[in-house]
Amino acid sequence: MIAGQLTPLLRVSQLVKSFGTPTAATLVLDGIDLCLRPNQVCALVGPSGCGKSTLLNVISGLEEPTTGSVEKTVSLRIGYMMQDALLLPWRTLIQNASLGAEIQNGETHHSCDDLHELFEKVGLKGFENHYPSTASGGMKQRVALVRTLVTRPECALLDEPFSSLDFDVKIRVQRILLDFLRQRRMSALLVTHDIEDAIALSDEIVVLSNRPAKVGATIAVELGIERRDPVEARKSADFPKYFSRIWEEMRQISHE
Amino acid sequence: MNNTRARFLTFYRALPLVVFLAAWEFAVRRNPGLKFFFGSPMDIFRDIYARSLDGSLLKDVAVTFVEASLGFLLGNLVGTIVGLALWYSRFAMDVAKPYVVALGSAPIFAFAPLLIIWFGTGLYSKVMIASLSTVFVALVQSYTGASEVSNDQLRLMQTFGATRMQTFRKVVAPSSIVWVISAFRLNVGFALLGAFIGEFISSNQGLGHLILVATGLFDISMVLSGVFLLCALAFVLNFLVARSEPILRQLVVRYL
Repeated sequence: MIAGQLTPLLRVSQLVKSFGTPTAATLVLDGIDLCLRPNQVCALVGPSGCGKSTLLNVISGLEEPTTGSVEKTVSLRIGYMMQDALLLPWRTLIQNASLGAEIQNGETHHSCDDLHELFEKVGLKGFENHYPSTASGGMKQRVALVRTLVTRPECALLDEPFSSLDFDVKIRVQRILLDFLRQRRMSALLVTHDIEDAIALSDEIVVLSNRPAKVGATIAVELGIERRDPVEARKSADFPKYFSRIWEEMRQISHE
Repeated sequence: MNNTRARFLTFYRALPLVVFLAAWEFAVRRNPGLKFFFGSPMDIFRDIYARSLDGSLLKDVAVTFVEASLGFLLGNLVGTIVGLALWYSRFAMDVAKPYVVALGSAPIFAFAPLLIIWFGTGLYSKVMIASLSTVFVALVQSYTGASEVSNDQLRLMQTFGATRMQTFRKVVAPSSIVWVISAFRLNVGFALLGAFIGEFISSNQGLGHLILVATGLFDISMVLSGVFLLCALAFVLNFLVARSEPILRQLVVRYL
């Protein structure tokens, strides 16, 4: 193994996050440990409302941890796709997609390299100049994904990036996402409630418990396929095994 | 179908005015003694017609129009810039707040005689009164707009690592534009009122001057023709503001 692969991009240790006053605090995250290595896709699965989004907020720096730490490699560039698409209503879809690149690199939607290609690949060609008010939830979500990817972060935090997509569109977008991550040598931390998506996309799955969230299990995914692909992964013989294993983990941890 | 409805609407809109004017004219003709107090629509029409032939009407209208629109532009520009700039500093806004409220609710026209002493009896003083009467509305509206910016959108900017200036340009300014434009609409009336009051106190031209002189002469038709022309001016200014709205919106998105 190469030494670089061992150095994590991101290491979360004993992370605790609670909201409210010290006397009446609601504990959301209860001692989370996880680490993300270069070129790795790691999925966080867990019951809804368990604090997955809070974890991403803390990792991205939007919120401070109550105790514990988030260590990042120096100058790690993080791209965060939040659960809501949050498109700006006065910008067209393509202008929305270029917002991050505009802010970080001063690019416009004319000069941004990957933008038009990605826009076309995710099936938004022809909708560039539409406004968000006329776009469907799935279109907005795809715009938000493109907006995150074109800033070319080393680590993408993706919060339920496929929740509004139909199955066929979802598979297409997942394929594009995996290709993009591989080509640009990016890592991703993917939050999802969908176990199948998690297995199909990631190298490692972290199962979180009900609120307050603890790490229930960390499972490495080895599907024995040459190149990760959302359809091939679903077809592979080991896919159901992982599915039942994660399902059991989630059930156990919820009943503890 | 739509065309029919539009014609229908025009007809019913004009109806109350026509009935009112006809009743007025009829009443004054039946009882000529009333003419001294109320004038008559025909006399107003004759007055406007005669004075548009000798050019004095155009001059008065133009003078008031220039005073009001210069005051409008100056007041709104200063008010909007200061109001949006206060977004940068919560502290500055908290300090400024009581002053803004006090000056905003003070009868600005009480300052009118003072402004005439300071700026003379010519164009300047009227422009100043008009801008003073618009500036606080613009300031309060634009600050409210800036402070009502959605928190989620601000968080989004934070995830891109945007500077405060970038956040201002990409989110705060465009999302406040609705408030700024509603200030413009309110201010059309205030700007005209400011110019009018300046003329009413001291001037030798303009619609305010015309009305003052006509009142002194007990020429009620001339007074009312002045009022009618002020209404027409307000109409024109409102139209211009409505026209500028989409242009302004596009400019902000494109150049900020």
